[in-house]
Amino acid sequence: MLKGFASEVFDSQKVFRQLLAAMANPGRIMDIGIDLESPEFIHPAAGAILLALLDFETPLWSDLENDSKEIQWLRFHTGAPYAYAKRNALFALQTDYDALESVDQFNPGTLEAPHQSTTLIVHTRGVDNNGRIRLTGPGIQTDKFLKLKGIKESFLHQRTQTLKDYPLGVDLIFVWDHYLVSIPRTTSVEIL
Amino acid sequence: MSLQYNFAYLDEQSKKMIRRSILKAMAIPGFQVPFGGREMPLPYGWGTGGIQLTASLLGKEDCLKVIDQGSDDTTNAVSIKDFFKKTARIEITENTEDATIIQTRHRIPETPLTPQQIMVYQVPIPEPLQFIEPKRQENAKMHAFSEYGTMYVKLYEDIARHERIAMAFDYPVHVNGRYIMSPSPIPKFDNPKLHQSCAMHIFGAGREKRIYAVPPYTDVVSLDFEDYPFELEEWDESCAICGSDQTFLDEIITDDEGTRMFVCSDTEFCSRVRQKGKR
Repeated sequence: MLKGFASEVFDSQKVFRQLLAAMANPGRIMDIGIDLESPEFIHPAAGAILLALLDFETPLWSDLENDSKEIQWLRFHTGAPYAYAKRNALFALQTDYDALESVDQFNPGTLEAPHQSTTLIVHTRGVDNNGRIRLTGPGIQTDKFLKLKGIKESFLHQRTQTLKDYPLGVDLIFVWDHYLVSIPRTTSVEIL
Repeated sequence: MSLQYNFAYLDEQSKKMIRRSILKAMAIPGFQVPFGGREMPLPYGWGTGGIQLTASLLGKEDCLKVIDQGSDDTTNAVSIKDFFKKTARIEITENTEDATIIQTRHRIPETPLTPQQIMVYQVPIPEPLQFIEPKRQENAKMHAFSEYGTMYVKLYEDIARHERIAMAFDYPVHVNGRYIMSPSPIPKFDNPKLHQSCAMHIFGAGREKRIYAVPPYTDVVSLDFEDYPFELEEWDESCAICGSDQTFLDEIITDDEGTRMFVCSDTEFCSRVRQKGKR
């Protein structure tokens, strides 16, 4: 079993602040800001976010099996329960981006508790700001452009359908290697 | 035997829980996220919400500024700075430009904020609808269905009675066109600073156990009517110390005869203007 954060206190704080900057500024690509060795099938950025935020209160769903060494690593270090249904997950990790078709089965929260929704972390083959995906909304001064390698356009179109349900919604974090970029529920996405 | 605290006082599980709430608050601007507020070593009403936010945000490299009604050196600000000096050993500043995190009780600094800064607000009453409908379950439903008509009735009643909207602080705002939010008891003079601000703003209510937030570049509109638009307070006087005429002024009684002077509420801004010799 790989170790987790070198410093529980300072590494989790650093990762959280990088993630907060990403969540407050959708489309801004952030580095996790620490060194972390994560198991084979998860990017260090995904591992770092989950180590920083998961605990016994936060069911985690993933397309990786519960007994995979990746999930066992996360569960060993955080104590998070494994959610067998997407609907029950507060955090979800999708490593197979080809299989990602929609956010439908994840939990969008309720009108009175829109915060009890899934935060979905998705692996990509790379992220940069030279793409055709145009983001607008809170946290973005005018607009922001993004390339999410490996993410299907049909997925982004399907996600756009859910915008009318605001304040309900699933918050997305795309990761690659040490990098992360967020598209929270308030962000409008168009593909130019 | 010396007493050792965890960095920034709170234990790591509490920080995780608060951090998750901050992230959801940022994703749903203006929505009050309930959180498992912890007991802090000071009474409610002294900034327990703000302190829990700051404790969850702080890292070794942060530079913290704390203000109380615009002042860096009043009891609440000094106590909170001492608290974090003791438990986190971080750098403390009075200079607004140097701060990465600014915890505030009821003011936004006059110095323009930067995109790197995080404002943390101490909030006594997070629910803007509380004085209209005291039941929390009802408040939740009103927010859920954007049922904000009664808020406008309250503003209308003000106009009928006083010929103006009679709220000078904690003036409600509409965030991102969805939630009505209390900006905390900042003077309405500061409300426009929230609109399309380049910094992020996080609000914490310790007693009520709520966290809410405004991301950068988000619409924050003070409630008003077409024929009674939102207006800022103005003063005939300028600051008696630095001469500024664009700042929020406090009125201070200086003797038993009722002699008065007006001075900047933001003490750091005031002293900087004075040092620049603008007077």
